[in-house]
Amino acid sequence: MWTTFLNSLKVSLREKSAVFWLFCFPIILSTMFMGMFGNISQSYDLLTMKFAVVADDDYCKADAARAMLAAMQRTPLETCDTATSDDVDTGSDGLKDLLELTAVDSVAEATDLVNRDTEVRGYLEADGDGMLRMTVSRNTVSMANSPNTEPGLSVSLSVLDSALGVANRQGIVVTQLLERDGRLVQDPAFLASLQENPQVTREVTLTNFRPEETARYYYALLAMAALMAMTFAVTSVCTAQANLSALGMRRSMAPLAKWRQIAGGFLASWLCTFLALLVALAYILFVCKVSVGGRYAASVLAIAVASFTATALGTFLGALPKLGMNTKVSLTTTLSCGLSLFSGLYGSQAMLLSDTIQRDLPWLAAINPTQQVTNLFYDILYYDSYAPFLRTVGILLAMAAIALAGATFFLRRQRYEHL
Amino acid sequence: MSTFRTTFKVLAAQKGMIMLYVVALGLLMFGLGWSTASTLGNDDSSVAYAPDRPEVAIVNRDGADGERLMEPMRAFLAEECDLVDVGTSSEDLQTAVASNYADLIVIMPDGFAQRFATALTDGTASPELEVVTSYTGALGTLAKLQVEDFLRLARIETLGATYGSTVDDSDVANGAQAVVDRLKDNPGAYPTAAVAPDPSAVSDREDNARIVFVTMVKMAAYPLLVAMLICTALAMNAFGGTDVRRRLYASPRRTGSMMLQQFAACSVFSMLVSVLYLALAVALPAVNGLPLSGIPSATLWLSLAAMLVYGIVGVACGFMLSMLSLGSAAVNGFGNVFGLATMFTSGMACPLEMMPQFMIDIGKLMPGWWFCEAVQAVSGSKGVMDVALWWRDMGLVALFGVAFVCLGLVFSRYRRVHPKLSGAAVTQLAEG
Repeated sequence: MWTTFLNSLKVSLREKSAVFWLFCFPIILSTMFMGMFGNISQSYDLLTMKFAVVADDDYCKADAARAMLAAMQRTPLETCDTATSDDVDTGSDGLKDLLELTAVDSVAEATDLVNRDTEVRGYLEADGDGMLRMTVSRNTVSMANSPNTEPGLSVSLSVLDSALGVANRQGIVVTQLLERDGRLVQDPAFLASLQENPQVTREVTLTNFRPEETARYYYALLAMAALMAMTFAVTSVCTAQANLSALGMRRSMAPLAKWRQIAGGFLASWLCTFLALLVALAYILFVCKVSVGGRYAASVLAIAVASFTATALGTFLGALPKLGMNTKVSLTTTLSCGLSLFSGLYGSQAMLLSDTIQRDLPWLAAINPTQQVTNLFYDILYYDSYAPFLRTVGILLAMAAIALAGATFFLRRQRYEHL
Repeated sequence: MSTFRTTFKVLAAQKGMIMLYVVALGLLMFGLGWSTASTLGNDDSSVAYAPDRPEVAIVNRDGADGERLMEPMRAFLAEECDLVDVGTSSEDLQTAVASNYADLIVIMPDGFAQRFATALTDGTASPELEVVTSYTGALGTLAKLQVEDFLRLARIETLGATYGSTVDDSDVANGAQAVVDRLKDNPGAYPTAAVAPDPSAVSDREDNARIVFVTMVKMAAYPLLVAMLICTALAMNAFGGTDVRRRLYASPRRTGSMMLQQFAACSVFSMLVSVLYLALAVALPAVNGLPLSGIPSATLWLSLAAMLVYGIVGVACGFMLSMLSLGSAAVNGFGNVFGLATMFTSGMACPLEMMPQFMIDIGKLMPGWWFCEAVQAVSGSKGVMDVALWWRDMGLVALFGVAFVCLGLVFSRYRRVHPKLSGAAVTQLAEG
């Protein structure tokens, strides 16, 4: 068996194209991710949006509303023949560049402007009670609905809408309180509370390590690389089958039990897969600077478990009857690409799909090996306890056991009608 | 024509490959686009625009006192946020954070309500709610703004109601509930963004149909390229085996003519696949109830033309690989790396704004980038249909195809001139 192991190892490592792709594929993609995610924080930046504002009598009377809008402009628009204070607190930093306003005289003029000029996103107006309203152009709706086009637009509109709500709600509550109890105008504590904006929330970290969005893509990539490495096992099993290769014919004549041949190939494939993933992990940790929260030993264990499961699944695929070797290799690639969709590798939409499946259809996530390999790294990084990690290890080992049982069923006492 | 027909037979013999790459990969990518299609299919922004709603989870660790404050907070937040349940245990919350189940998690610590009331009486610093903001965007920050707004209004309302007397936690709960009641029926409290009427624009649902169609056509860039590249390379490899090639060289046919017929057969196959993918791109908005009249005919036909040309570029790339006599694993590996690189740099998987300039420059060295640019040029976005730009972009896509074919011919010549490279070096396995 050990001779088979050594020879299988040599054969696997001498197959230049397989070695190149299985070792280099994750490195190439990691490098690509490293470049792609260089500006990821900028994709969440708010846009500066051009808006028209209907500067009619209602707007000129709405002092609080004008002050709030002024606080959202780098250079506040001066209208209504009065200077506007720009030191109003909008409740959040970073809104100073949200708006660039242009004054118009009427709603009709504003509508005409937003339909004519696609750069102007919409217009703002105030009603008789000083309440602000937003109207957006049809083109803005279209751009906000288009995926991957102006990614900050949708959230910028949401922030503006929310800020208008904040201003309106304060106006409603204060006006009604003062109408109900006129003494409040004399109450310094109450008046002071209107100006104050005390700190009422505190950002905390619940996880073992602060999550990074980009890290998830690297974990999904490791999972894909693990499944791609099933090729080693597929090739190893195929070269032991008499109906798939001339080498298989010779090996079936050898005075060595079949299980020993398969076991030797299995161990060699496991070692090759483990080495390929270890190289990928090292690259991701030390070159791409993706963290595992200092839990290096657990990460290596995760790689060992992932490569064991991948080898077991590869052994099962290799043992499938009535399929040629090329088809099995292609099936391996397609399975790894296809299942990676559900573990979030292919961009933000795929990541959303992965999260949704994890939350709403956990059994589906449980039978997806790429999702489980991805979860191994989540478990290491985010949980205080090792219990979730051990649970995921259990799921992967169960998958491996089922795959090996299936492979044994197909390979055991195999007979060939003709060769 | 016999080589042409034989190539088709070889392709047909690769049913497994076609099912895996053309059907499965195509369906996976279109399945990914389903979420966009179903969202827009259920969306109606004809008169009002609904901004993004953050997902918020609220966890109470302050017992009954906290619950009396939490109840109005939930009612307040529900107006502009979606409330989700992520559990309460430490592991549940860690899972929620790691897997991004909520844009904001709000935790009310033990004794918060009482300390909030005391702070109002004493004028001391307010206690703080613990919050965890999602790492994926600004929606969590937006939700945090709402939470802070609620507590600020509850504070004002409580101070106004108690007017100088001592405040206890029931006053705070009553004040919070009063805020919700006061705002509930006031249309200005939660303003809705209207959509300006535009007589010259198509209807909202027609526009959504156009958006879904264009998104789907762009998404086809990945499966179309990978499927055509791999199917072509493996089909042409069938003609490149040592024995087959020797026989072909000995036949009274010009090698160039046979190669051309193989290429033509694969191109016809790629056209069929392109039409299939276009049909899926049309079907998706229709299945989601969006009117197909929203897809301008120029967008439809020029997108089809773009897919046909792009598919043939995939065939050209497969032809180039087949001339290198690569094995199945290498062809699959190259196809997937090239396909993924194209997908990630073309802007169909992630917004271009998040990519640094050098990645965009790399993207421009791939045919997928120019394919997506061409489709975007005639997408009708902002009412613009730039056919001249489409021609320029498709010209560049076609040039990639020409470059692949030229490289393939170079490799082919090199292989003919150096036949020993494809022969067995020392030993050769006797294949049955």
